This record gives sequence, structure tokens and C-alpha cells, in this order.
Amino acid sequence: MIGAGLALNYGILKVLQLAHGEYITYGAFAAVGAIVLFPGLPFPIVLLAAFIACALLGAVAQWLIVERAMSYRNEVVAMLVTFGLAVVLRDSLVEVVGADLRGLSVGRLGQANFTIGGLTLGVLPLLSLAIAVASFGLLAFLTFKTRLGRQIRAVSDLPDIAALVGVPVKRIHVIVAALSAGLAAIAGVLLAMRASVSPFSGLDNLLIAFEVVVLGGLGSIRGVLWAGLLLGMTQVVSTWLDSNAGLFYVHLVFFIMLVFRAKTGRLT
Amino acid sequence: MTMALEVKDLIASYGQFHALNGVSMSVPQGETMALVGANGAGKSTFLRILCGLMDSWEGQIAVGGTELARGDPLKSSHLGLALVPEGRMLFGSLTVRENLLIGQTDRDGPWDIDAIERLFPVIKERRNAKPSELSGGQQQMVAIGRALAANPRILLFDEISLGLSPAVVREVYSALAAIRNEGVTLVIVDQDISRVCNVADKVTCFFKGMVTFHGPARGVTADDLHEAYFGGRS
Ligand SMILES: Nc1ncnc2c1ncn2[C@@H]1O[C@H](COP(=O)(O)OP(=O)(O)O)[C@@H](O)[C@H]1O
Ligand SMILES: [Mg+2]
Repeated sequence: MIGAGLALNYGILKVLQLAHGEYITYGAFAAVGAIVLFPGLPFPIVLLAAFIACALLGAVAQWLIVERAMSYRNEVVAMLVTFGLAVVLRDSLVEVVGADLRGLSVGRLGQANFTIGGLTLGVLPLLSLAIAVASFGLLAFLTFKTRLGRQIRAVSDLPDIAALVGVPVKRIHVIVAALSAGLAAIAGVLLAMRASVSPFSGLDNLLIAFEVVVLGGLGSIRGVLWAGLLLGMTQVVSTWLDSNAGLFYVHLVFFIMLVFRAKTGRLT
Repeated sequence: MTMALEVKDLIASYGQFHALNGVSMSVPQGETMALVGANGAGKSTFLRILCGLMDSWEGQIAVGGTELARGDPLKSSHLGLALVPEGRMLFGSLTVRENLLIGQTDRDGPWDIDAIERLFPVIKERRNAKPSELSGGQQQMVAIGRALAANPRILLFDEISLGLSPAVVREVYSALAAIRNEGVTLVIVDQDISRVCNVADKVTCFFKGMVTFHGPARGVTADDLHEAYFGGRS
């Protein structure tokens, strides 16, 4: 979930979006803010609001800033610009909300659980997983079954030729940036439901996002969908088995997969 | 006579190097121009400029009377230009059918998917295949189909028969006849000079970035072209 947006962005735009972690944080804070402002807002609306807010932010940032940096046709230039964007986003958030930790109050949902076959499952992790799977499903449908998805894949393959056959490449970039930031927002909301987030959480989350992207194969949408699911499942399963595990098992699986790949020679 | 393409004093450079050095030519609407010349003469550079894939050039280029934008492939597409590039350049993560669908534009014209599949039946047979699963000849047909799907006003071919078997080259050239009949202007680059000149109304020969021959294909002799190919009278 955390990595899907970053991978989408890298796969299509060929820009490593270092502000991705910040989008995740912003998604979390958008949800917290929405609930503070409108107590009792239904959860799906909160999720949607966070998605839309970050998608707009991502689109505007792409349109006004990153797209220009990309015109230098130099990945480092574009990456540095997204780094600047990340810093600006983080600092403005600190300015507005302070440096405190925030969490989404999930009420009794946090403790709610049920038991099948002797295994006690929390409702909250399951809900997270369901939302993640649904988001992946929608993303896969969009990418592989729609006209927009076709255009996105074409831009990813051969941007110049795509433009020459009439694909509005810049618009596609903005849409992809929006989708990517929106996915980050959903990941952020899910994080906030489980743990607290601070304006400084961005970097940690960027790290996980990197793992998913590297594992899935840089720029391969299909691969990243699978990698995201694998690491997501790992996280959910490991918190069932050991509630203090945090992200340890996720990093471990990532590491094992990398070693495995290096052995089989499939490092790309 | 309306000109599909008018070029005046075109100079193109890669850094200090001038790949085109004062090219002028015109192609009337609906005609076919053969563009020939030795390796490195500047043919691909010329097509890239028309397609908006290169921006370091000077001079005037009008497409159907409208000035060409510099380095903007989307605008080139809107002007009605389409390219069958050297090396096919199909979208690898799209199926054959998707490669055609993505070529479609708002322009009206004879080339809907059905018509393209009639022209190249193999496109229909392999519609769900990925380009990498096709032979070179099949890929070239998909590349032509993708370009046709735009219902272009000017269709450009770079190295149309490079790497294809003689049988496939014959099939591609017979398709060209059908394409011409629909009134599109063609610019064809091919190393097989006599074959491409046979289907052309006009011939242009480049030599080191300059035009050494530009005239009707009819009546042009092998000697004329041979001379132009190696630099012409000087
Ligand atoms: N990307 C490039 N950078 C530098 N020089 C180039 C580049 N592409 C082509 N050239 C040079 O420009 C000249 C014309 O090339 P090109 O247009 O590909 O010729 P043709 O298609 O007729 O074989 C050649 O001398 C080639 O070496
Ligand atoms: Mg060439």
C-alpha cells in the first residue's frame, strides 16, 4: 500500500518522488483534521477526503514544479526538486500542527477481534488489509482495463512515441502524480488508525516504499502490485503473531527476497 | 496545388555538428515521396524534426499550411503527422490490439480497426499477443496499423523494409498501394532505392545533410540517383 504510489510514480514518470513519505503523512493528518473538524464523519468519507486532498496536492506539485524539473531530462535534477518539495511539505506541516504525535481514534474497533479455528484476528488489521487489497484491485483495473490505463502504460513504455500518437503525456503525468499521492494518503490513514503519526514520519514511510519498489522491480507496475501485497500481508500476519514486531518482519522479508533474487540473478 | 509539406532552409544540429544543412523541399497533398540517401545523410533526423522529436533546428516547416512547432510530438500528431519508426517502437506492455487503439485520434478517415485488420489480417489473429511475441514482419504491420489508426494526413516511414524478409517487404509494399489510394501523403525512407522509387511520385535524395536531388520520380534514371546518392555533381 505504502509503496504502490511511489512505484506508480517512478514507473511512469521516471522520477523518484522523495515527497512520497510526506504525502503519506499528509493523508494521515488530513484524516485526523477531518475528524477533528467534523466529528462523527463516516470513515469512508474520511478516507475519500484524504485521498482527494493529497491527490490534488500531488497534481498541483507535479504540474507546477516537478513537470518543469523533468523538462531538463535529468533524473537527478527532478529528484532534488522532489527532495525540496518533501522538506517544504514537512516544515509547513510542522508549522501548522506542531511536532506532536497524532493518531486516529478508532474507538473500540482497535480492540475488536474475533476467533476462527483458534486464531484470534483483529478487525482493524483485517480492515486495513481489505482496504489495501481493494485499492490494489482498483489500481490494477484502471491500469490494465481502461483507456487511461492504456495511455499510462504507453507513456511508461515510450513517452515520446506516446505523445506522437496523440497521448497527452503531461496530463498523464499529472494524473499519475495525483493517483500516487492519493494512494499515499490512503496508506497514511491506515497507518494513523494503527499507530500515531508525527510530521516527521515521512522518512520512515519513504523507506518502506523504497523496499516495495525495489522488490517489485523498478518501474514494473505488475511487479509492484505483487510486492506491495506480499509486504502488506507480511506486516498483517506478523502483527497477528507478534504484536510488538512492528516493521521488523517486513524488512526481514524484503532482505530475504533481495538475497534470493541476487542468488537467482534476477536483480532487475 | 496545396502542399502537404513545405520545408525551407532547414538546418538541424546535434551540438556543433550540422546533420541537416539547408534542406528545402515540398510534397503535394496525396503524393508519395521517396526519401533516399546513404547512412548518416540525415533522413532520420529530418523525420524526427517533423515528428517533434528534436528541437535543435532552424528554418521554416509548414504542414498543410500550418507552421510546425519545435520539439512537440503531441502538436505534430495534431497536425496529422504519424510515424512508422525505424525499429517499430511498439508499446511493449500493450497488446497488439491496444497498440492500435492507442493510435486512434478524433480525425475522421477510412482507417478504423476493421479496415486495418483487413489490410493486415495477422493483426486480428494476434490481437491479444504482446509485441515481443511477434516476428519482425508482424511487428512492422502493427506499427503501420498503429500509425494508420490516427487517420494521418502525412504518414512517415523510416527504414520501412529494414530487417524484413523479402516476402514481408512485398506484403508491406502492396499495403502501401492501398494506403496511397486513400489519399494520404507518404514519405518513405528505404535503402532499396529502386523499389521505393517505383511507388513514389517524387524522389528526394540527401547527401551529408543537403538535398542532392528533388524531383518527379517518373523519368529519374538510375544514373541520376547514383550520382545524387554519392554527392551529385560538384
Ligand atoms: N543523437 C545524435 N547525436 C549526435 N549525432 C547524431 C545523432 N543522431 C544522428 N546523428 C548524426 O547525424 C547524422 C545524420 O543521422 P541520421 O539522420 O540518423 O541519418 P540517416 O537516417 O540518413 O542514416 C549522422 O552523421 C549521425 O551520426
Ligand atoms: Mg536513419
